[in-house]
Amino acid sequence: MTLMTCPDEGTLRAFLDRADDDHATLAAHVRGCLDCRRTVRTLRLNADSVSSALALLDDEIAVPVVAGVPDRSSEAIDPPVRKRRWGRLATGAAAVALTVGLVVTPAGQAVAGGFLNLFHSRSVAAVTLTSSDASQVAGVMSQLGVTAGTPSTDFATLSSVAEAQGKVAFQIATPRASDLPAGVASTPSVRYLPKSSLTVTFDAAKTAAYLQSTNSKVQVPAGLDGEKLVLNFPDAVALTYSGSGQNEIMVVSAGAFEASTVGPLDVAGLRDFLVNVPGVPTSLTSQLGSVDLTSGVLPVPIPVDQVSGTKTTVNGHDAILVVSSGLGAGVVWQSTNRITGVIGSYSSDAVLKIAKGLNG
Amino acid sequence: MASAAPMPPLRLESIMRSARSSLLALVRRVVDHAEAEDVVQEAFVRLTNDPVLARPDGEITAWLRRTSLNLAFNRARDVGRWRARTERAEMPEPADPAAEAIRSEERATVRAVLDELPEKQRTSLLLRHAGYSYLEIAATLDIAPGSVGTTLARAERAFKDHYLQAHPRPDQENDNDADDLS
Repeated sequence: MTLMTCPDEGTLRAFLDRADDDHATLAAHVRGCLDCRRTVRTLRLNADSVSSALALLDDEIAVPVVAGVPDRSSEAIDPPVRKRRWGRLATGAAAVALTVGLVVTPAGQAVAGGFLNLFHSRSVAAVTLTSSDASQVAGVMSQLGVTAGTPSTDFATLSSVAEAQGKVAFQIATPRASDLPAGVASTPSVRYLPKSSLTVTFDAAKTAAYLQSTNSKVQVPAGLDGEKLVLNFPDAVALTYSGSGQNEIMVVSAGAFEASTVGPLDVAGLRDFLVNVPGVPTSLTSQLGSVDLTSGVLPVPIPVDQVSGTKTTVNGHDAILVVSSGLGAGVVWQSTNRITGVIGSYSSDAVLKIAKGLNG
Repeated sequence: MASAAPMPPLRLESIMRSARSSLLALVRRVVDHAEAEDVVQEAFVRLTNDPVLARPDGEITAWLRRTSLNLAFNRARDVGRWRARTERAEMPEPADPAAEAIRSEERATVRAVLDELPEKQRTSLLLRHAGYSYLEIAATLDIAPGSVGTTLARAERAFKDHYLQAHPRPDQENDNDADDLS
Protein backbone atom coordinates (compact mmCIF):
# COMPACT_ATOMS: atom_id res chain seq x y z
CA MET A 1 0.00 0.00 0.00
CA THR A 2 1.21 3.51 -0.73
CA LEU A 3 0.07 6.85 0.57
CA MET A 4 -1.38 9.20 -1.99
CA THR A 5 -1.16 12.23 0.26
CA CYS A 6 1.31 13.30 2.88
CA PRO A 7 0.44 12.24 6.44
CA ASP A 8 -0.24 15.02 8.91
CA GLU A 9 2.27 16.21 11.48
CA GLY A 10 0.74 14.16 14.29
CA THR A 11 1.01 10.97 12.28
CA LEU A 12 4.65 11.70 11.53
CA ARG A 13 5.29 12.38 15.19
CA ALA A 14 3.80 9.00 16.06
CA PHE A 15 5.93 7.52 13.25
CA LEU A 16 9.02 8.81 15.06
CA ASP A 17 8.01 6.88 18.17
CA ARG A 18 6.90 3.88 16.14
CA ALA A 19 3.44 4.41 17.60
CA ASP A 20 1.88 4.61 14.14
CA ASP A 21 -0.53 2.09 12.71
CA ASP A 22 1.41 1.16 9.58
CA HIS A 23 5.08 1.92 9.99
CA ALA A 24 6.26 0.24 6.81
CA THR A 25 3.88 2.24 4.60
CA LEU A 26 4.75 5.48 6.32
CA ALA A 27 8.47 4.72 6.10
CA ALA A 28 8.15 4.08 2.38
CA HIS A 29 6.36 7.36 1.91
CA VAL A 30 8.82 9.34 4.00
CA ARG A 31 11.74 7.88 2.07
CA GLY A 32 10.32 9.23 -1.14
CA CYS A 33 8.95 12.55 0.07
CA LEU A 34 11.25 15.49 0.65
CA ASP A 35 8.61 17.50 2.52
CA CYS A 36 7.88 14.69 4.93
CA ARG A 37 11.56 14.03 5.51
CA ARG A 38 11.97 17.66 6.43
CA THR A 39 8.99 17.51 8.76
CA VAL A 40 10.28 14.34 10.40
CA ARG A 41 13.67 15.92 10.85
CA THR A 42 12.19 19.00 12.50
CA LEU A 43 9.96 16.88 14.73
CA ARG A 44 12.96 14.81 15.74
CA LEU A 45 15.00 17.90 16.59
CA ASN A 46 12.16 19.28 18.69
CA ALA A 47 11.67 15.96 20.44
CA ASP A 48 15.40 15.67 21.16
CA SER A 49 15.52 19.22 22.49
CA VAL A 50 12.63 18.58 24.85
CA SER A 51 14.11 15.27 25.91
CA SER A 52 17.42 16.93 26.75
CA ALA A 53 15.70 19.65 28.75
CA LEU A 54 13.45 17.26 30.65
CA ALA A 55 16.47 15.09 31.37
CA LEU A 56 17.54 17.86 33.73
CA LEU A 57 14.57 16.93 35.88
CA ASP A 58 15.66 13.30 35.81
CA ASP A 59 19.00 14.53 37.01
CA GLU A 60 17.37 15.96 40.08
CA ILE A 61 15.66 12.70 40.78
CA ALA A 62 19.02 11.01 40.43
CA VAL A 63 20.58 13.37 42.96
CA PRO A 64 24.12 14.47 42.09
CA VAL A 65 26.52 12.65 39.87
CA VAL A 66 25.04 9.53 38.35
CA ALA A 67 24.37 6.17 39.62
CA GLY A 68 23.00 2.88 40.43
CA VAL A 69 20.90 -0.02 39.63
CA PRO A 70 17.19 0.34 38.99
CA ASP A 71 15.53 1.57 42.11
CA ARG A 72 13.28 -1.29 42.96
CA SER A 73 13.23 -0.14 46.54
CA SER A 74 10.20 2.00 45.81
CA GLU A 75 8.43 -1.18 44.90
CA ALA A 76 9.36 -2.86 48.14
CA ILE A 77 6.14 -1.58 49.60
CA ASP A 78 4.20 -3.42 46.99
CA PRO A 79 4.02 -7.09 48.00
CA PRO A 80 2.26 -8.42 44.90
CA VAL A 81 5.10 -7.46 42.62
CA ARG A 82 8.04 -7.10 44.90
CA LYS A 83 9.58 -10.52 44.66
CA ARG A 84 9.21 -10.70 40.94
CA ARG A 85 10.82 -7.34 40.34
CA TRP A 86 13.55 -7.84 42.84
CA GLY A 87 14.11 -11.16 41.18
CA ARG A 88 14.90 -9.37 37.98
CA LEU A 89 17.25 -7.10 39.80
CA ALA A 90 19.01 -10.12 41.17
CA THR A 91 20.81 -10.64 37.90
CA GLY A 92 22.94 -7.86 39.29
CA ALA A 93 24.28 -5.47 36.75
CA ALA A 94 23.63 -7.99 34.02
CA ALA A 95 19.92 -7.46 33.81
CA VAL A 96 20.21 -3.75 33.45
CA ALA A 97 23.22 -4.09 31.18
CA LEU A 98 20.91 -5.34 28.49
CA THR A 99 19.96 -1.92 27.23
CA VAL A 100 23.44 -0.58 26.92
CA GLY A 101 24.67 -3.93 25.77
CA LEU A 102 22.42 -3.49 22.79
CA VAL A 103 24.10 -0.31 21.71
CA VAL A 104 27.66 -1.02 22.67
CA THR A 105 30.00 -3.62 21.47
CA PRO A 106 32.69 -3.41 24.11
CA ALA A 107 36.23 -3.42 22.93
CA GLY A 108 38.16 -6.54 23.72
CA GLN A 109 40.78 -8.91 22.53
CA ALA A 110 40.60 -10.13 19.00
CA VAL A 111 41.15 -13.84 18.75
CA ALA A 112 40.61 -16.47 16.12
CA GLY A 113 41.85 -14.27 13.36
CA GLY A 114 39.75 -11.33 14.39
CA PHE A 115 36.47 -13.17 14.15
CA LEU A 116 35.74 -13.23 17.84
CA ASN A 117 36.01 -10.22 20.10
CA LEU A 118 35.41 -10.81 23.75
CA PHE A 119 34.60 -8.40 26.51
CA HIS A 120 34.74 -9.42 30.14
CA SER A 121 33.44 -7.01 32.73
CA ARG A 122 35.69 -6.13 35.63
CA SER A 123 34.06 -3.08 37.16
CA VAL A 124 30.88 -1.07 36.87
CA ALA A 125 30.19 2.49 35.85
CA ALA A 126 26.82 4.13 35.58
CA VAL A 127 25.34 5.80 32.56
CA THR A 128 21.99 7.48 32.92
CA LEU A 129 19.06 7.25 30.61
CA THR A 130 15.32 7.61 30.89
CA SER A 131 12.73 4.93 30.32
CA SER A 132 11.88 6.79 27.17
CA ASP A 133 15.51 6.58 26.04
CA ALA A 134 15.57 2.87 26.76
CA SER A 135 12.49 2.17 24.68
CA GLN A 136 13.97 4.38 21.97
CA VAL A 137 17.16 2.33 21.93
CA ALA A 138 15.21 -0.92 21.82
CA GLY A 139 13.17 0.46 18.93
CA VAL A 140 16.28 1.44 17.00
CA MET A 141 17.93 -1.93 17.52
CA SER A 142 14.89 -3.70 16.13
CA GLN A 143 15.52 -1.76 12.93
CA LEU A 144 19.06 -3.04 12.52
CA GLY A 145 18.68 -6.78 12.79
CA VAL A 146 17.03 -9.61 14.64
CA THR A 147 17.50 -10.83 18.17
CA ALA A 148 17.39 -14.35 19.52
CA GLY A 149 17.15 -15.54 23.09
CA THR A 150 16.07 -13.66 26.18
CA PRO A 151 17.81 -13.06 29.47
CA SER A 152 16.36 -15.42 32.05
CA THR A 153 14.44 -13.82 34.88
CA ASP A 154 12.92 -16.84 36.58
CA PHE A 155 14.66 -17.87 39.75
CA ALA A 156 14.58 -21.42 41.10
CA THR A 157 14.24 -21.85 44.84
CA LEU A 158 17.00 -23.87 46.45
CA SER A 159 17.22 -25.34 49.92
CA SER A 160 20.49 -23.81 51.07
CA VAL A 161 23.42 -21.58 50.27
CA ALA A 162 25.56 -24.70 50.02
CA GLU A 163 23.33 -26.11 47.30
CA ALA A 164 23.56 -22.82 45.41
CA GLN A 165 27.31 -22.73 45.83
CA GLY A 166 27.50 -26.06 44.04
CA LYS A 167 25.96 -24.51 40.97
CA VAL A 168 28.07 -21.39 40.49
CA ALA A 169 31.75 -20.71 39.89
CA PHE A 170 31.95 -17.58 42.01
CA GLN A 171 31.96 -17.37 45.80
CA ILE A 172 28.47 -16.48 47.08
CA ALA A 173 28.52 -13.43 49.31
CA THR A 174 26.80 -13.80 52.68
CA PRO A 175 26.20 -11.12 55.30
CA ARG A 176 27.49 -11.25 58.85
CA ALA A 177 24.56 -11.87 61.20
CA SER A 178 25.75 -9.00 63.37
CA ASP A 179 25.39 -6.58 60.45
CA LEU A 180 21.74 -7.40 59.79
CA PRO A 181 19.21 -4.90 61.17
CA ALA A 182 17.33 -5.88 64.32
CA GLY A 183 14.48 -8.24 63.65
CA VAL A 184 15.87 -9.62 60.42
CA ALA A 185 16.05 -13.40 60.20
CA SER A 186 19.57 -14.77 59.92
CA THR A 187 18.58 -17.64 57.62
CA PRO A 188 17.84 -16.58 54.06
CA SER A 189 15.60 -17.95 51.38
CA VAL A 190 17.87 -18.98 48.51
CA ARG A 191 17.12 -18.56 44.83
CA TYR A 192 19.22 -19.32 41.78
CA LEU A 193 19.12 -17.84 38.29
CA PRO A 194 20.86 -19.78 35.49
CA LYS A 195 23.03 -18.22 32.82
CA SER A 196 21.38 -16.90 29.69
CA SER A 197 22.29 -15.07 26.53
CA LEU A 198 20.94 -12.78 23.85
CA THR A 199 22.23 -12.62 20.30
CA VAL A 200 21.73 -9.75 17.91
CA THR A 201 22.35 -10.54 14.25
CA PHE A 202 22.71 -7.44 12.12
CA ASP A 203 21.00 -7.12 8.77
CA ALA A 204 22.68 -4.68 6.39
CA ALA A 205 19.66 -4.21 4.13
CA LYS A 206 17.34 -3.58 7.03
CA THR A 207 19.84 -1.17 8.54
CA ALA A 208 20.23 0.69 5.26
CA ALA A 209 16.46 1.04 4.95
CA TYR A 210 16.25 2.43 8.44
CA LEU A 211 19.06 4.92 7.85
CA GLN A 212 17.42 6.03 4.63
CA SER A 213 14.03 6.44 6.30
CA THR A 214 15.61 8.69 8.89
CA ASN A 215 17.53 10.65 6.29
CA SER A 216 20.74 9.77 8.04
CA LYS A 217 24.15 10.27 6.50
CA VAL A 218 25.62 7.48 8.60
CA GLN A 219 26.98 4.73 6.34
CA VAL A 220 26.37 1.04 6.87
CA PRO A 221 29.81 -0.38 7.73
CA ALA A 222 31.15 -2.99 5.37
CA GLY A 223 30.75 -6.43 6.89
CA LEU A 224 27.78 -5.55 9.07
CA ASP A 225 25.51 -8.05 7.40
CA GLY A 226 25.43 -11.19 9.51
CA GLU A 227 27.65 -9.73 12.22
CA LYS A 228 26.59 -11.11 15.58
CA LEU A 229 26.65 -9.49 18.97
CA VAL A 230 26.35 -12.06 21.74
CA LEU A 231 25.50 -10.89 25.23
CA ASN A 232 26.10 -13.44 27.97
CA PHE A 233 24.27 -12.81 31.19
CA PRO A 234 25.74 -14.47 34.25
CA ASP A 235 24.14 -16.87 36.67
CA ALA A 236 23.16 -15.36 39.99
CA VAL A 237 22.18 -16.29 43.52
CA ALA A 238 19.82 -14.17 45.58
CA LEU A 239 19.68 -14.52 49.35
CA THR A 240 16.64 -12.89 50.91
CA TYR A 241 16.52 -12.14 54.61
CA SER A 242 13.07 -11.28 55.93
CA GLY A 243 12.52 -8.65 58.57
CA SER A 244 9.44 -7.33 60.29
CA GLY A 245 6.45 -6.40 58.19
CA GLN A 246 7.35 -6.14 54.55
CA ASN A 247 11.01 -5.35 55.19
CA GLU A 248 13.68 -7.41 53.49
CA ILE A 249 17.38 -7.49 52.80
CA MET A 250 18.56 -9.14 49.61
CA VAL A 251 22.18 -10.04 48.88
CA VAL A 252 22.83 -10.90 45.27
CA SER A 253 25.94 -12.50 43.83
CA ALA A 254 26.36 -12.87 40.08
CA GLY A 255 29.11 -13.85 37.69
CA ALA A 256 30.67 -11.39 35.28
CA PHE A 257 28.89 -10.07 32.25
CA GLU A 258 30.43 -11.01 28.91
CA ALA A 259 29.83 -9.81 25.40
CA SER A 260 31.38 -11.03 22.21
CA THR A 261 31.09 -10.24 18.56
CA VAL A 262 31.30 -12.80 15.80
CA GLY A 263 32.02 -11.57 12.32
CA PRO A 264 34.49 -9.65 10.25
CA LEU A 265 33.66 -6.25 11.60
CA ASP A 266 36.13 -4.31 13.68
CA VAL A 267 34.76 -3.97 17.19
CA ALA A 268 35.57 -0.32 17.64
CA GLY A 269 34.05 0.48 14.27
CA LEU A 270 30.87 -1.36 15.15
CA ARG A 271 30.53 0.53 18.39
CA ASP A 272 31.14 3.86 16.73
CA PHE A 273 28.56 3.01 14.13
CA LEU A 274 25.92 1.96 16.66
CA VAL A 275 26.19 5.03 18.79
CA ASN A 276 25.81 7.23 15.72
CA VAL A 277 22.67 5.56 14.46
CA PRO A 278 19.75 8.01 14.51
CA GLY A 279 17.42 7.48 17.42
CA VAL A 280 20.10 6.60 19.95
CA PRO A 281 19.78 9.44 22.49
CA THR A 282 22.68 11.86 22.34
CA SER A 283 22.77 12.04 26.11
CA LEU A 284 23.57 8.33 26.13
CA THR A 285 26.21 8.40 23.43
CA SER A 286 28.04 11.27 25.07
CA GLN A 287 28.18 9.37 28.34
CA LEU A 288 29.39 6.23 26.64
CA GLY A 289 32.15 8.23 25.05
CA SER A 290 33.64 8.82 28.48
CA VAL A 291 33.57 5.16 29.52
CA ASP A 292 36.84 3.30 28.93
CA LEU A 293 35.47 0.03 27.64
CA THR A 294 38.90 -1.35 26.89
CA SER A 295 39.60 -1.66 30.60
CA GLY A 296 36.59 -3.89 31.17
CA VAL A 297 34.29 -1.25 32.58
CA LEU A 298 30.69 -2.37 32.23
CA PRO A 299 28.34 0.55 31.58
CA VAL A 300 25.26 0.01 33.70
CA PRO A 301 22.29 1.88 32.29
CA ILE A 302 20.33 3.75 34.91
CA PRO A 303 16.68 4.60 34.25
CA VAL A 304 16.88 7.91 36.03
CA ASP A 305 13.14 8.42 36.00
CA GLN A 306 12.87 5.56 38.46
CA VAL A 307 16.08 5.79 40.38
CA SER A 308 18.26 8.02 42.49
CA GLY A 309 21.76 7.44 43.61
CA THR A 310 25.41 8.34 43.95
CA LYS A 311 28.82 6.88 43.39
CA THR A 312 30.49 5.30 46.36
CA THR A 313 33.04 2.62 47.18
CA VAL A 314 32.72 -0.74 48.90
CA ASN A 315 35.96 -2.16 50.24
CA GLY A 316 37.93 -0.37 47.57
CA HIS A 317 35.65 -1.18 44.65
CA ASP A 318 33.78 1.51 42.74
CA ALA A 319 30.13 1.06 43.55
CA ILE A 320 26.79 2.58 42.72
CA LEU A 321 24.50 3.46 45.60
CA VAL A 322 20.79 3.89 45.07
CA VAL A 323 18.64 5.55 47.69
CA SER A 324 14.93 6.10 47.63
CA SER A 325 13.76 8.51 50.27
CA GLY A 326 12.09 6.62 53.08
CA LEU A 327 11.72 3.46 51.08
CA GLY A 328 15.05 1.70 50.86
CA ALA A 329 18.52 1.55 49.39
CA GLY A 330 20.73 -0.63 47.25
CA VAL A 331 24.38 -0.82 46.29
CA VAL A 332 26.10 -2.74 43.50
CA TRP A 333 29.74 -3.24 42.59
CA GLN A 334 32.03 -5.65 40.81
CA SER A 335 35.05 -7.33 42.29
CA THR A 336 37.07 -10.17 40.81
CA ASN A 337 34.70 -12.34 38.80
CA ARG A 338 31.65 -11.35 40.79
CA ILE A 339 28.99 -8.69 40.64
CA THR A 340 27.54 -8.11 44.08
CA GLY A 341 24.44 -6.24 45.14
CA VAL A 342 22.83 -5.54 48.49
CA ILE A 343 19.32 -4.17 48.39
CA GLY A 344 16.95 -3.59 51.27
CA SER A 345 14.02 -1.66 52.60
CA TYR A 346 16.34 -0.02 55.09
CA SER A 347 18.55 3.04 55.21
CA SER A 348 21.60 3.43 53.02
CA ASP A 349 23.77 3.21 56.15
CA ALA A 350 22.28 -0.16 57.03
CA VAL A 351 22.71 -1.45 53.50
CA LEU A 352 26.31 -0.22 53.22
CA LYS A 353 27.18 -1.75 56.55
CA ILE A 354 26.03 -5.14 55.30
CA ALA A 355 27.81 -4.65 51.97
CA LYS A 356 31.13 -3.80 53.57
CA GLY A 357 30.95 -6.73 55.95
CA LEU A 358 30.04 -9.46 53.49
CA ASN A 359 31.78 -12.80 53.74
CA GLY A 360 33.11 -14.38 50.61
CA MET B 1 -25.80 13.61 39.46
CA ALA B 2 -25.89 10.30 41.24
CA SER B 3 -22.87 9.56 43.34
CA ALA B 4 -20.66 6.66 42.43
CA ALA B 5 -21.37 3.32 44.02
CA PRO B 6 -18.94 2.56 46.83
CA MET B 7 -15.85 0.79 45.60
CA PRO B 8 -14.78 -2.38 47.36
CA PRO B 9 -11.94 -1.33 49.69
CA LEU B 10 -9.64 -4.06 48.48
CA ARG B 11 -9.96 -2.98 44.87
CA LEU B 12 -9.26 0.63 45.77
CA GLU B 13 -6.26 -0.39 47.82
CA SER B 14 -4.98 -2.55 45.00
CA ILE B 15 -5.22 0.33 42.54
CA MET B 16 -3.42 2.67 44.89
CA ARG B 17 -0.66 0.17 45.60
CA SER B 18 0.02 -0.58 41.98
CA ALA B 19 -0.09 3.08 40.93
CA ARG B 20 1.89 4.60 43.77
CA SER B 21 5.43 3.99 42.57
CA SER B 22 4.86 5.22 39.05
CA LEU B 23 2.96 8.28 40.31
CA LEU B 24 5.81 9.16 42.64
CA ALA B 25 8.36 8.81 39.85
CA LEU B 26 6.23 11.07 37.69
CA VAL B 27 5.60 13.92 40.11
CA ARG B 28 9.16 13.93 41.40
CA ARG B 29 10.03 15.74 38.21
CA VAL B 30 7.89 18.61 39.38
CA VAL B 31 8.29 18.63 43.16
CA ASP B 32 10.72 17.20 45.67
CA HIS B 33 10.49 13.77 47.25
CA ALA B 34 8.59 14.82 50.35
CA GLU B 35 6.15 16.93 48.38
CA ALA B 36 5.71 14.13 45.89
CA GLU B 37 4.54 11.87 48.70
CA ASP B 38 2.08 14.56 49.79
CA VAL B 39 0.84 15.11 46.26
CA VAL B 40 0.20 11.43 45.60
CA GLN B 41 -1.48 11.05 48.95
CA GLU B 42 -3.73 14.01 48.19
CA ALA B 43 -4.62 12.51 44.83
CA PHE B 44 -5.57 9.27 46.57
CA VAL B 45 -7.77 11.17 49.03
CA ARG B 46 -9.50 12.99 46.19
CA LEU B 47 -9.98 9.72 44.38
CA THR B 48 -12.04 8.27 47.21
CA ASN B 49 -14.73 10.89 46.55
CA ASP B 50 -14.56 11.07 42.80
CA PRO B 51 -17.10 9.60 40.36
CA VAL B 52 -14.23 8.16 38.35
CA LEU B 53 -14.26 5.33 40.89
CA ALA B 54 -17.14 3.85 38.96
CA ARG B 55 -14.92 3.54 35.89
CA PRO B 56 -12.54 0.69 34.95
CA ASP B 57 -9.15 0.50 36.67
CA GLY B 58 -7.28 1.89 33.68
CA GLU B 59 -9.35 5.05 33.69
CA ILE B 60 -8.85 5.46 37.40
CA THR B 61 -5.09 5.18 37.01
CA ALA B 62 -5.18 7.71 34.20
CA TRP B 63 -7.21 10.04 36.41
CA LEU B 64 -4.61 9.63 39.16
CA ARG B 65 -1.79 10.57 36.77
CA ARG B 66 -3.54 13.68 35.57
CA THR B 67 -4.65 14.75 39.04
CA SER B 68 -1.24 14.12 40.59
CA LEU B 69 0.56 16.15 37.94
CA ASN B 70 -1.87 19.04 38.29
CA LEU B 71 -1.53 19.00 42.05
CA ALA B 72 2.25 18.94 41.69
CA PHE B 73 2.29 21.97 39.42
CA ASN B 74 -0.06 23.80 41.77
CA ARG B 75 2.38 23.23 44.57
CA ALA B 76 5.37 24.16 42.49
CA ARG B 77 3.85 27.54 41.77
CA ASP B 78 4.14 28.44 45.40
CA VAL B 79 7.48 30.18 45.60
CA GLY B 80 7.66 29.70 49.33
CA ARG B 81 7.40 26.01 48.84
CA TRP B 82 10.19 26.11 46.33
CA ARG B 83 12.45 27.69 48.90
CA ALA B 84 11.37 25.29 51.59
CA ARG B 85 11.97 22.45 49.22
CA THR B 86 15.63 23.16 48.85
CA GLU B 87 15.95 23.33 52.60
CA ARG B 88 14.05 20.12 53.15
CA ALA B 89 15.68 18.06 50.47
CA GLU B 90 17.90 15.38 51.90
CA MET B 91 20.52 15.66 49.26
CA PRO B 92 24.21 14.98 49.70
CA GLU B 93 26.55 17.92 49.41
CA PRO B 94 27.25 18.31 45.70
CA ALA B 95 30.79 17.69 44.57
CA ASP B 96 30.74 20.98 42.68
CA PRO B 97 28.38 23.48 44.34
CA ALA B 98 28.76 26.08 41.58
CA ALA B 99 27.88 23.61 38.84
CA GLU B 100 25.00 22.29 40.91
CA ALA B 101 23.70 25.84 41.36
CA ILE B 102 23.65 26.30 37.60
CA ARG B 103 21.89 23.01 37.07
CA SER B 104 19.39 23.89 39.74
CA GLU B 105 18.63 27.11 37.91
CA GLU B 106 18.26 25.22 34.65
CA ARG B 107 15.83 22.81 36.24
CA ALA B 108 13.78 25.70 37.55
CA THR B 109 13.68 27.09 34.01
CA VAL B 110 12.49 23.79 32.61
CA ARG B 111 9.71 23.61 35.18
CA ALA B 112 8.72 27.21 34.54
CA VAL B 113 8.52 26.55 30.80
CA LEU B 114 6.41 23.46 31.39
CA ASP B 115 4.14 25.49 33.60
CA GLU B 116 3.58 28.01 30.80
CA LEU B 117 2.20 25.32 28.51
CA PRO B 118 -1.45 24.27 28.42
CA GLU B 119 -2.16 21.38 30.76
CA LYS B 120 -2.51 18.78 28.04
CA GLN B 121 0.74 19.78 26.41
CA ARG B 122 2.85 19.73 29.54
CA THR B 123 1.28 16.50 30.73
CA SER B 124 1.89 14.83 27.39
CA LEU B 125 5.56 15.85 27.49
CA LEU B 126 6.13 14.57 30.99
CA LEU B 127 4.34 11.31 30.31
CA ARG B 128 6.16 10.68 27.04
CA HIS B 129 9.50 11.49 28.60
CA ALA B 130 8.72 9.12 31.46
CA GLY B 131 8.17 6.33 28.96
CA TYR B 132 4.39 6.08 28.87
CA SER B 133 2.81 4.68 25.73
CA TYR B 134 0.60 6.63 23.39
CA LEU B 135 -2.40 4.69 24.67
CA GLU B 136 -1.59 5.61 28.25
CA ILE B 137 -1.07 9.24 27.31
CA ALA B 138 -4.39 9.26 25.46
CA ALA B 139 -6.17 7.77 28.47
CA THR B 140 -4.60 10.28 30.82
CA LEU B 141 -5.48 13.27 28.66
CA ASP B 142 -8.86 11.83 27.71
CA ILE B 143 -8.15 12.23 24.01
CA ALA B 144 -8.20 9.82 21.10
CA PRO B 145 -5.00 7.77 20.72
CA GLY B 146 -4.70 9.13 17.20
CA SER B 147 -4.43 12.66 18.58
CA VAL B 148 -1.43 11.99 20.78
CA GLY B 149 1.07 12.56 17.99
CA THR B 150 -0.43 15.96 17.21
CA THR B 151 -0.52 16.92 20.87
CA LEU B 152 3.10 15.90 21.33
CA ALA B 153 4.28 17.66 18.19
CA ARG B 154 2.61 20.90 19.26
CA ALA B 155 3.81 20.54 22.82
CA GLU B 156 7.42 19.93 21.79
CA ARG B 157 7.40 22.89 19.44
CA ALA B 158 5.85 25.15 22.10
CA PHE B 159 8.26 23.92 24.74
CA LYS B 160 11.26 24.50 22.52
CA ASP B 161 10.08 28.00 21.61
CA HIS B 162 9.42 28.96 25.21
CA TYR B 163 12.61 27.36 26.42
CA LEU B 164 14.77 29.16 23.89
CA GLN B 165 13.17 32.44 24.90
CA ALA B 166 13.84 31.79 28.55
CA HIS B 167 17.16 30.12 28.07
CA PRO B 168 18.80 31.25 24.83
CA ARG B 169 21.81 29.24 23.80
CA PRO B 170 24.11 30.25 20.97
CA ASP B 171 24.59 26.67 19.86
CA GLN B 172 20.88 26.30 19.20
CA GLU B 173 20.62 29.14 16.74
CA ASN B 174 21.16 26.77 13.87
CA ASP B 175 18.32 24.50 14.93
CA ASN B 176 15.84 26.64 13.06
CA ASP B 177 17.62 25.78 9.86
CA ALA B 178 18.16 22.19 10.74
CA ASP B 179 15.27 20.92 8.70
CA ASP B 180 17.15 21.80 5.55
CA LEU B 181 18.62 18.65 4.15
CA SER B 182 22.30 18.81 3.82
